[in-house]
Amino acid sequence: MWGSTQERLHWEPAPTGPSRGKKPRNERFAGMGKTVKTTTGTRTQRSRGHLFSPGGLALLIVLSALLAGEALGPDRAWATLGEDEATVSRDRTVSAGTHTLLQAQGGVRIHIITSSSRTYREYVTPGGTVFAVTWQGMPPPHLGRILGAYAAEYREAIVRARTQTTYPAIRSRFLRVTTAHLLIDGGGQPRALSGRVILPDQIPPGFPVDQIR
Amino acid sequence: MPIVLTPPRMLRKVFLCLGLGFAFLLTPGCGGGGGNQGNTGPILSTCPNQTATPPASGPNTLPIYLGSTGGNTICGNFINAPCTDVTFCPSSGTNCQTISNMLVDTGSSGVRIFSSVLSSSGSYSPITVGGSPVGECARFGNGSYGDWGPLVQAYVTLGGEQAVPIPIQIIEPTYAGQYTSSGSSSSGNTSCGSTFAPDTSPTQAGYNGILGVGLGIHWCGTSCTTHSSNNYYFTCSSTTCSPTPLPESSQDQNPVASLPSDNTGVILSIPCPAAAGSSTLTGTLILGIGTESNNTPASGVTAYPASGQPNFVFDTTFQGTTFSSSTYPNLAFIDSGSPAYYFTDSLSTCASPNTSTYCPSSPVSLSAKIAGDGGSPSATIDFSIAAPSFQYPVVGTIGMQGGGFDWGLPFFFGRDVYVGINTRASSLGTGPYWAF
Repeated sequence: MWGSTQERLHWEPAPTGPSRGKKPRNERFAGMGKTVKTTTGTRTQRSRGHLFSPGGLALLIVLSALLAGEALGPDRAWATLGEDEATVSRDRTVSAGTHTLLQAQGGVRIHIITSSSRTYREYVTPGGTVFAVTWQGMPPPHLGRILGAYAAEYREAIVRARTQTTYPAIRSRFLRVTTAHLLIDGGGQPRALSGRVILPDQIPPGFPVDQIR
Repeated sequence: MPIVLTPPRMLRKVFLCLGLGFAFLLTPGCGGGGGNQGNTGPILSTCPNQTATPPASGPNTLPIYLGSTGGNTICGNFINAPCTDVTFCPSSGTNCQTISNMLVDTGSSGVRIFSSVLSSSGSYSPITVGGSPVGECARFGNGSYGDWGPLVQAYVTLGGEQAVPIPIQIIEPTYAGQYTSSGSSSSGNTSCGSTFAPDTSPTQAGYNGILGVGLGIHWCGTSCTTHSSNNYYFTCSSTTCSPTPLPESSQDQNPVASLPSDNTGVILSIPCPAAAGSSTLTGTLILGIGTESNNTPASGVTAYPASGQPNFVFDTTFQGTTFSSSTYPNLAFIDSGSPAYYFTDSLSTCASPNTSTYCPSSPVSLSAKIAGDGGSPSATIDFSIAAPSFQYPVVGTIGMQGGGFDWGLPFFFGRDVYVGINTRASSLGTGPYWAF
């Protein structure tokens, strides 16, 4: 929306070519990413919705609930989008909060960090790569660090979404933007914000997008 | 919010309507709707639940203007951006300026204005905590864009009302060195963050400022009085900021709540635009509910209570899914600062660059059930969605993808909407509530 010529329909495959910018760092999931890519496109994505929309959350099993954040130890913290789960956060204090680890379908692990002003979640592939970050209430204060190598691409998309290029333009309170590597959406009213940043190419095959929330 | 598309529900409706033969011309929900290029189907009302009253006048009223009224190229360049005029003074009765293009926003509470449109922005006294000035990160959307700048004390005048002294936000990206004037983040950004995109100018933002007249008295309310990590308020030096709790009295706030008598809420009265869209439209913002002869609720107006702090939401059921305070963050609310109806549906979307806007091949009539928080009272609301021509800045049938259900500005067209401020009582009940 708002004039981006780079936007595409939701799950149309990202264009390939040298101008796409940096590749996801974790090459272990290149094959997995290709699988996802070849099943993208509007028609296939509709099928994905029918297969996986209902009941996914029911598969979540609480593995380790309500661990204090500090209990994970100084060398283990939340990770960075596109990087390994074991990435050490460079900011321990802002990560303080209650930590819950959920085991979701397909071996996906969800780290849930809850504090007084927000909940944010990090979704990790069975192989240990962070493929999505979501928040409710407030973006994590260290969102730039969590987005890691994708922070600049994220911000560029937000700025573009807020820049008028057509008349009349739309000044939206919900975002839904696709970039070379990211799916960004979210919105709401100022007292109840929510957002998601997803690496579509890194979603494990069969994991339903609507379970990322 | 689900992304995945399912086969268009709309098709089922089309088949049903065809099956009804000639009767479909008279059947609600078949075809119709305004504004679609090349549409030859029957015309449904752009504003199915029309209840708008004649324009009100008096000291407790402000004009609402949309589109190209008076050659407006700020709000007027944006779809469904309702704006008005507000007067600001740094002290009582001196150096006052009346500022146009203030977005009338029932989705937030508090007043914010670009420093660049105030000739004497430096003469407004800063709001302080422990002697340090306070900066605010007013986040909208997914929280990664909005307005950055200091909180100051101002005298704010609405219409012919008495000026009220309240904290407001000055929109100033360079405040405390956090961003450049073009919005680039400083390397040591310690407030909104390096991934935040601050509004940089009225033409970029689409407003000179925001007049937040929502259900809350304060921008953040009690959530920010104790939590230092609220991420909205910061104490700042010339180059660095750190998070701070802020008492409600120091927060930016709804100026209507501070009026001497017309402080129970507001009424937005905006007529219905043309079916295809309008290039201009004017309405009225009426201050107070049940405090004057011109804001006494008409018979038949029903109040729908909203939930309490912090979110102020009610219930909406759309296509079998109910959004309520318990479905956070997918919430239901009424927001004049949202240009469209926002919901999740299988309707096809428009071509780039408007890929988040619904563009059904022919107009569709939809309905949803609104209910007060807790489930009653309730009412069924009909609305129409059509493919916008993107030629008109005022459109009554525009829908966009979003989570929960956001009853944006099209909901206001042709309908008087009452916004009852939290804790304030009127004949419609005690706020927070919406009524129509």
